[in-house]
Amino acid sequence: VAGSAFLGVVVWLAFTESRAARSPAWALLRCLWPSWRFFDGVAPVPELAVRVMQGDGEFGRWRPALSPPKRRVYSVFLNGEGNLHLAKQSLIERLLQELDGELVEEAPSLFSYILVRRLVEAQLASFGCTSRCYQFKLSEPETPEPLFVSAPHQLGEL
Amino acid sequence: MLLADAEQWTARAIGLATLLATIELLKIRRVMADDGVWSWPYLRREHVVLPTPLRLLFAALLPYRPFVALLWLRLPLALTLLCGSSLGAPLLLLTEVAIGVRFRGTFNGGSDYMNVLILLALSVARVAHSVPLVVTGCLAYVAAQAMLSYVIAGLAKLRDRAWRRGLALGALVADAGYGTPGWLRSILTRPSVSRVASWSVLLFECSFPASLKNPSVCAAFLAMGVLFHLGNSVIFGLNRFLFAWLAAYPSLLFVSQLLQI
Repeated sequence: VAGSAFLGVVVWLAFTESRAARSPAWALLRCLWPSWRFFDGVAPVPELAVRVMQGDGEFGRWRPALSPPKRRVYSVFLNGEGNLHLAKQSLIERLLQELDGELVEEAPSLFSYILVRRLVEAQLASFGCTSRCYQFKLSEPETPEPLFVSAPHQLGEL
Repeated sequence: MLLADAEQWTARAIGLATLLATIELLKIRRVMADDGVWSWPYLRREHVVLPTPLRLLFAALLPYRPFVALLWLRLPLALTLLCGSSLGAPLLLLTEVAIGVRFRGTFNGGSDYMNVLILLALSVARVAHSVPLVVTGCLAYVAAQAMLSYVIAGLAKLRDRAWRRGLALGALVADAGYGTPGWLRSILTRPSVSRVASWSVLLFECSFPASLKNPSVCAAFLAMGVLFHLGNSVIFGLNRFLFAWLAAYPSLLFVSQLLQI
């Protein structure tokens, strides 16, 4: 009986739709509530791209802002850069979740939006970018239409 | 495996997992500085939703300098666990939750969940050390969660058509976002290999409850589990999952033995 009940709970947990923690306080304490769904859908990983304003006042071409670091043999034990890359990717996915149903004009007030801007600015600094104005977009690989394009922002404005 | 052995090996394994995770976080600590991406002056704004005692606690622990000090403190705590003593488990649990909150929920998803629940179980077991029934309950809780982690993940995948058709793994590794090494990508994207690999994952995860049949079957499942997590580490870079799940294995072995009796 106990085994059947346990199996019933497992099946129920697996087949009920997962819900992101709705309360912001619970979302912060999410590590206390395990979720065991991994790779349960095959969705493309969203890409973050950035472009900066050129001297002529026009934006240049989009270029990827994040690329996964090369994996080494020792990465099985220590993979700090790789896990940091995954955390950045999660930040982008969370922004997309939060943008769902939001008005585009309200996006800059989202907390994840601010953090993604900080991420973009850090990446621009690592590229040695000198332009003051930038824009970022989120898209899916091999899909021409972007999921989201930000308004132009000034570097160091945050 | 005796109860004390199972508890001790769980402590050793979670000590190793937290030690490696801490070294990683110390290496990338610049992203948590005030001019980094996860800057405390920004993150603290989100904490207004927390109850006051928690807000005050995190306001003391999570600014850059105290947080880095907390990470350094984790090293000796993890080492005591690695030596087999769960004395530092409650404090390490607090630091683990603090890391999750610092990254707005979790830093590394599933591995953080597993670390927290094992440290929680070890902390309770430590407090109730003289009551074997409570310690047994703590290890059973870890075993149940470890089993749930495989079965839920397996059944949730089974709902997806791409997994059932054997296309999922090939599609996932083909995505450049995971950084799968090129040589592995070229192997795993072959339809026949993808089909076999996808169904191997589904069968392994969904059949995991059979591991509790007896200790020998359990040991075989755990050996497959090591290979499975090693594969995930190489393919998707999920190295932390390997060590976090290894820490749950002594509990699974202990429970399989308990059910046998």
